[in-house]
Amino acid sequence: MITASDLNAYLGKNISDICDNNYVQAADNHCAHFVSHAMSYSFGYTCKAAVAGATHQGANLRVHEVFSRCLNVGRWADKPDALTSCLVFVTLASNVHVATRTMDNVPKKHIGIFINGTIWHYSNSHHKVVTQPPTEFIKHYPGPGFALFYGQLI
Amino acid sequence: MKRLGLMLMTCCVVLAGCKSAPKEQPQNPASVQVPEKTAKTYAPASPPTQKQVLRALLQIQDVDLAGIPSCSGVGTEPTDVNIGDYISGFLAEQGSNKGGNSIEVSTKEDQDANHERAWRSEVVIRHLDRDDRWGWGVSFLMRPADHSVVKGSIECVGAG
Repeated sequence: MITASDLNAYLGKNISDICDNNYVQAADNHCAHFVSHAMSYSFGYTCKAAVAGATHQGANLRVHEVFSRCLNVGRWADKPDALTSCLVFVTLASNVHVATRTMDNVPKKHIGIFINGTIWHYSNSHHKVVTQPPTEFIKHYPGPGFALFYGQLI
Repeated sequence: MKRLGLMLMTCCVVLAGCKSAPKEQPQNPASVQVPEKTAKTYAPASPPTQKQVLRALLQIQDVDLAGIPSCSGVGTEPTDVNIGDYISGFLAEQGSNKGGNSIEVSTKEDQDANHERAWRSEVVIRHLDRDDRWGWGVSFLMRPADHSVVKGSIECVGAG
């Protein structure tokens, strides 16, 4: 089980300090990429698959693929109190289908790791791993309709 | 009633007073010059141009997403079934005038499964607006002789 101490070791790091497969373009979105390296999620479409000749263990690159693999998902308000460590997602509520555990592959979706009130996530605009409380994380995208969802760690 | 009749008559007079533009004389069909279509030619040694790569992408729009592991579920809507649906979804996301939009086209030399020389081309639709940052697209091999796409080489690229 990952700990806050493990995640604090990533704080302030750029994706180039995290990914040995050299999937490090600043123009790409690295939110799921960071989470998957931290959690060792090597299923689905990975940085290893995306980079020709990459040899290191791959990490998944896509938020909707991680969401679908979670053992249990739901709206943030419905998160069981006992679930103090989980994945957290922010996107338009209409893009999430909790009953089928699927999320549409819309561009505006973001993921982080939640432990005891703090979220670690990769800020694509600041190019580094940062922490935020859920009350700030939900403001990741401006505009109405965005909501938080939880996903039980895989 | 009288007033209506007067108005209609006035309109008729006005219309009759307008001279129609002189009609063009029909030309002899034999004298009309239709430009001949120039056959496309390809220089196998040269990489495809950006326009040729985009044309190739349009040619594979009917390819099913479901049969390609990297493309499974990449559509922006659950009803998206093929490359055309997928690309249309992300192009539509560029409709907003917020942030920067671009279409990145690249090509490098590669080989197909039979070790034949081919061009690995990639089209990525990009958007950049602070944390709203993404790039989704398609990568595929093109045959140097005619720039046709090697079907089994198609991959969907993108993260986030």
